[in-house]
Amino acid sequence: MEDRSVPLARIWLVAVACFTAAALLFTGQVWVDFAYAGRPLSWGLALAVALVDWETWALLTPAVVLLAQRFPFSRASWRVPVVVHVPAGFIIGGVKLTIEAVLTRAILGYGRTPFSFLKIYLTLLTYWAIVAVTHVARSYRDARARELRSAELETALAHAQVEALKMQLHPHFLFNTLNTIAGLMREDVEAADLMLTKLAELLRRTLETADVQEVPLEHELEFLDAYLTIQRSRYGDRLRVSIEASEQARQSIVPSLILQPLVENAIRHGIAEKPGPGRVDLDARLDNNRLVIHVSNDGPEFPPRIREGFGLRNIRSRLERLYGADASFSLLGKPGGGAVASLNFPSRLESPS
Amino acid sequence: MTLRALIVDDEPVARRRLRTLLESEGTVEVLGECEDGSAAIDDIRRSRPDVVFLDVQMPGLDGFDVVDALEPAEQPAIVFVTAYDRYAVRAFDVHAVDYLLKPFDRGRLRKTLGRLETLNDARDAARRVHAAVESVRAQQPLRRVLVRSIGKVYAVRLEDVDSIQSAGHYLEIHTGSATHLVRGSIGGIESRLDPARFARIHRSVIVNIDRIRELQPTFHGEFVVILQSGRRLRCSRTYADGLKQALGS
Repeated sequence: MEDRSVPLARIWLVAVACFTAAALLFTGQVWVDFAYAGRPLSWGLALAVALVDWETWALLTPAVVLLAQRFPFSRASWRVPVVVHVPAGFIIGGVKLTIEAVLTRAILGYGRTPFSFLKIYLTLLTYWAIVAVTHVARSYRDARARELRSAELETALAHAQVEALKMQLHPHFLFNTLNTIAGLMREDVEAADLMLTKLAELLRRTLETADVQEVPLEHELEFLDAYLTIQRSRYGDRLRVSIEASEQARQSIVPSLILQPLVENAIRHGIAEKPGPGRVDLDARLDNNRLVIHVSNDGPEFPPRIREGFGLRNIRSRLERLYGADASFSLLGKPGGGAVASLNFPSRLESPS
Repeated sequence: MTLRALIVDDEPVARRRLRTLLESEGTVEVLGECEDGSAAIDDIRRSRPDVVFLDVQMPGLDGFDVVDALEPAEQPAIVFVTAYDRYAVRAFDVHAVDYLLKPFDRGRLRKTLGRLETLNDARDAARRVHAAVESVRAQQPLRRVLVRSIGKVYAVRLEDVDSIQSAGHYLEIHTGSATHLVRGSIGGIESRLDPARFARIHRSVIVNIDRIRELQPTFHGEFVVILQSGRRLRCSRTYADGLKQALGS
C-alpha cells in the first residue's frame, strides 16, 4: 500500500502560521486581562505572553498529528480513537498549560490567572482542532490518491485494449486469417463459418471490454477460445493447446485482457518461430485463496535475459495498480526449451464496485 | 507446356487453397508442399521445380533464407507469397519480382502465371530475386545468422549468440553450446547488428551485451570481458569507451 500519512513538516509549518496569527489576535485580550487584574503590561510584553500561549502548541503539534495519524477516526472505527484521544487531549493539554505557565513566569516574573475554565476549554478545543485538521488533510490525500490510481488503471486498460485490437488488426493475423477462411470455404463450409464468427466475436469482445477493469476468468477464457480457434485453424496440427481451469478459478475475477497477450506471445515465440508442432498450455487454479495461472509453451530455448515488450510491461503495471505488492508476474525459461509465464494474485469472486 | 510448381507455406489451409487454385488452371502441376524453409531447400534441390510459391514468414528458415541458401544456378522462378510486409513488397516492386498478397484472387494468380510463361531469362529473374532479398535484409536489423554446413542449412538466432569472432574469411559464431562457422567479415556483420545489443570489443570480436557478466580492468585502460558462460575475452582500449557506453544504456 502507498504511504497515506500527511507529511509532518508541512503540517507543522501551517500550524506555526496559524498559531502566530492567533497570538496576534489574542494580544489585545492579554493586554485587557492584565489591565483588569491591576497589572497593566506594555503591548510588547502582551504580545510575548500571547506568543508563549500559542506557540507552545507549535511544540506539541507533531505529537498530536502523529497520534491523529496513528488513531484516525473513520466510520468503521471510532471507539478506539475516542478512547485514545479523550485522555490524550487532557494529558497534552496539561503539558501545554504547564510549559506555558513556566515560560510566562520566566518572562514576567509572575504568573497569569492560576486557574480558568475558559483556558482549559480553549486548550482542549485546540487539541481537537489539530486532530480534525489532520483528519481532513488525510482524507483529501486519500481521495487524490484514489483518483490518481483509478486514472492510471484506466490508462493501462486502454493500453491493453489497444494492444488487443492491434493484435487482431495486425496485418499478419488478419490477412492470414482471411486467407484461411477463403481456403476453408472450398473445403469445409462449416469450418469457414466458425472461423468468421470467431473473428467477429474476438473483435466485438475487445471493443466491449472498453471500460471493464476486471472480469471473471471464464470471460477471459471465452475470449481466448475465439482467438485459439482461429489460430488452430491456421496452424492445423502444428498447434496443440490445452486449457485447464478449475471451476473455482473460472469464477475468480481477473484483470480484463490479461491472458491474451501471454497466449499470443506463447504462440508467436513457440509455434511461429519453430518448425514442427508446438504446444501451448494454460493452467489456472486456486491455491490458498490465490489465483495461480501458468501459460507455457515448448518453443525454442529461452534467452537468459529478455527485454520485456510493451505488452508484458503493461501486464506488470496493471497488476501492481490493482493489487499492489500482493500480485506477482514472472516469465521464465523452462529447462529444455520453451517458457512459462506465471501470474499469482489474490482470488476474489466479485468485482468491487 | 505445364509448369511444375512447389508450394511453401507453414499454414496447411493456405497451402491447400493455393494448390486447388493452381490445379484448377490445368496448366500447372503441383509437385508438392513444404511447411518450412529447410524442407523447401531439400525439395527444390531434389525435384527441380520451375516455380516456387514461397511464403515469406515461416518458422525456422523464412522465405528469404531459402533464397539465400540456394545457389543462383539452382534457383527456380520464385513467387513470394505474403500476408503483409511493407518493406518486402516495396523491394519486390523495385526489383520487378513477382509476389502475391494473401488472400489473392484467381485473377491475380492468373496474371502471375502469365508472367511466368513469358519469363525467358531465368538467370536474370534469379538475380532480381536476390537483389530484392538483399535490399529487404539491409533495411532490417539481422535477427538470425544462416549457417550452411554439409548437407543442411540452419539458422542461429541472435539472442542465442554469446560472441562473434573473426577467423580469416570466416566468422565463428559462439552460442552457449556450440560454435558455428559462417563466411563473412566482422565489419560486415557489425553493421547489420543492433548496436544496443551487440558491441565490438576488439578488432576481431563482437559480444552480446546481455551476456556480459563482468568487466575486469587490466592494464592501460583495457578490460577483460567475462561472459555468463565463463568465457573471457579481451576488450582493447580502442573499444573500451564504446563498450562502457553500451553497458550503461
